[in-house]
Amino acid sequence: MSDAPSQILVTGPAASAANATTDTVPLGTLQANGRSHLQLAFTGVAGDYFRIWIVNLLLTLITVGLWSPWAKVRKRRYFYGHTWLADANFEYHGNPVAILRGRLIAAAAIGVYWIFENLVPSAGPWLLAVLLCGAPWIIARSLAFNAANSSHRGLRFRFSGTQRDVALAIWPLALWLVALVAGSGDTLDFIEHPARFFGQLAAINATFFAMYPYAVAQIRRLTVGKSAWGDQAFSTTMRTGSVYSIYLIGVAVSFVPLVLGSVVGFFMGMLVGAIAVGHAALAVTIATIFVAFVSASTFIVWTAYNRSRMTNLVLSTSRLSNIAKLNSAISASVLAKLYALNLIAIVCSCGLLIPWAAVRITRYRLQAISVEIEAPLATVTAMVTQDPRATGEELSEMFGIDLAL
Amino acid sequence: MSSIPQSTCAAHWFDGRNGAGTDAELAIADGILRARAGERHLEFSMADVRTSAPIKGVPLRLCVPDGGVFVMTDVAVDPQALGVAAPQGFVHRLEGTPVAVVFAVAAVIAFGVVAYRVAIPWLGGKIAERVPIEAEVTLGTAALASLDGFVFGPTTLPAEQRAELQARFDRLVDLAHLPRQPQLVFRSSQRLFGANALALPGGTVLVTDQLVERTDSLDEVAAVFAHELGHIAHRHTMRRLLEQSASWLILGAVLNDVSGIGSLAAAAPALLIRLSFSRQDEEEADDYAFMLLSQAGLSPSLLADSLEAISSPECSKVEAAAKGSAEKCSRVRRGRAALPPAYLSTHPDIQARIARARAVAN
Repeated sequence: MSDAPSQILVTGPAASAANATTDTVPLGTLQANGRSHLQLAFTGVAGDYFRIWIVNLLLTLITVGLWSPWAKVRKRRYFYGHTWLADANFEYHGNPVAILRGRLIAAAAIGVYWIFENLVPSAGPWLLAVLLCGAPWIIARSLAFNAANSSHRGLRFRFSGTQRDVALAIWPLALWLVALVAGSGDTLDFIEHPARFFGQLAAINATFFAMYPYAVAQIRRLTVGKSAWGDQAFSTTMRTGSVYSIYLIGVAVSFVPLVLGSVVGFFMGMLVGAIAVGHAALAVTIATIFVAFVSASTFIVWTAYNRSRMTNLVLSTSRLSNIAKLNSAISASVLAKLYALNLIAIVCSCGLLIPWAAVRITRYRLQAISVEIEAPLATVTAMVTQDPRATGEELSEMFGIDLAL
Repeated sequence: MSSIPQSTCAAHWFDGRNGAGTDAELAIADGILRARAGERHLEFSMADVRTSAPIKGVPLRLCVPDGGVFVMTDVAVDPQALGVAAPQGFVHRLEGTPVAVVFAVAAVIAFGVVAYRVAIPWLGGKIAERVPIEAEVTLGTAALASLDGFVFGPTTLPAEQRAELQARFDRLVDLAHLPRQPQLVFRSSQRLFGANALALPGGTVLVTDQLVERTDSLDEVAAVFAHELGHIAHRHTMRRLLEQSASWLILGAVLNDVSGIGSLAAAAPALLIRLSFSRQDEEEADDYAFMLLSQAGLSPSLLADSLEAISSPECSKVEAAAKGSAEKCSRVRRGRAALPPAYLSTHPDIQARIARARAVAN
């Protein structure tokens, strides 16, 4: 599902809206005050995307992964190209060769990391230090690459955040990793002083969970605030407090399936235990299925609530310069139902229905996003001109690092 | 390029300087793209025009120098209709050919099955042979350290019993001639691991008090040692660990989710506890045990005895004595029946293996 244009949801493309039929394309609804209200539309079809997905998966397997950048670009171009705002679709320009170069370097780095971590355990802290220093640079490059390679109406998007900006946004996460490594000590400590060991671990993790929404708010504000379409910059008024309430309510909401499941599971366990004495394998199978069911429900409720509310918050507090205001109205319960059905479909089809699931989720998420333009579209779009820094050409020469944030 | 003028084609023209966009009509002839966009007339040499790779349902784009782009109004217009060459045409044709798609589905499924059944085990074996034994020892020590306290407690076997078992273990090790001298460690595990034995990476054999108590003679435990030494001689543990991490790696790569990569060091303890060897691994280890037992002057049927004792629902003499009576012991065990017999869950096909050991002994 990572093929979906997540970049579109985070920054730019949320910047305008339309209908997919090719013969008659309404330019949105023009309101009395001269503003137009435009809806994003997604015209992708599960069957078509399935063909692209399976053929490119096979080519990737045959070429031992070398085709994967081309596959990624084709899949992403399918999603961008089927996303319409007013009379124009989006376009992804990523250069597969640059992405291949980036992936080869990443694979080499993972290989070195794996060897060091498993064969030279004492190198652990040094590896962590390298990772911590490299992460902001990688994230900044990845955001810039994705933005510079996305366009709408012939104009590119741009992300101008630096690694310093990223480092300032994610420092709580780095601190958590350092604290975990420094505080874990050796295992003997755990056997001799279990209370102290767990106390320490709990304190470190509690601090992390308390800081996490802050880091999320920072990175989201950075992603929007340092983005631009053409020469017009995006801006955001998102408050950190709103992110905290989303995470707190999210935890509370996710507890419902967890608590319900545990209570039902307890009584069911007693019942099954009574019936299935001597049938250990049967009892274990039933218990495993039930635990999987409860974990999946909890995960779905959490993800659906968090993603819908975060997207709604980030987009609804964003605007493009003084010309357009974004809005998003994704429903958590609709998203949860989609996730649940997708999960069942993917598991039952051994993964073959992943394309179907990706198309359904993208269609729902995109059609919930709209753009309010404060003048007729034609006047506004003519105001936006190309930013010479946004060509993306020099970035294509860099390696195409791409992270899903 | 055809010299016959193509019929005109409706498009959207974006000049790449601002986002306004106008309706346009274009035609390609004699290597020249001619277009009327609004009031303007545009001409480009086709040598400078880049055509987008065709994708189903996405309108074709003709990109001209300086960032301008024509987007076809009709999504059905393909490069051939326009008389232009487009990159990745073969992939687009494959995606549009039902036979190719059906073939791709079949091939991907076949690939998955072959990778899981053949390629990954083969690769695991090849890599395991090349992993330095010191690295395996490090991994085994780290794994045992993290399992101690969670799964295993200190042994409560009497020292003399441990010494007798150690003597039997040493005798088998002397006969085995392994590249690195294996160690024997005793641990207790009431519930999670139960009556079981484990070959750790690096060649350490772990045996639980519960297994020793479950069997009726120390020679039966020696038979279990011989079996675990078989796993060590064939480096089964390292192979399975590598296979399992490779499976996750490949699954993660296919599903485009690289975050699923877990490090082997972090996953090893959990994997070890649930590690299940294949039937072939067990047979190899059993064959090795038969050979070692014969060399030590012991009967291969001891392995059958120990397997029977481990899988039997009845209590051994030692266990019965500990609980007061055989009836009480059996009752306690049946009460725990909801939990899986630990040894069975990691060692499948136990009846077949018992029969095999008896056949070899005769």
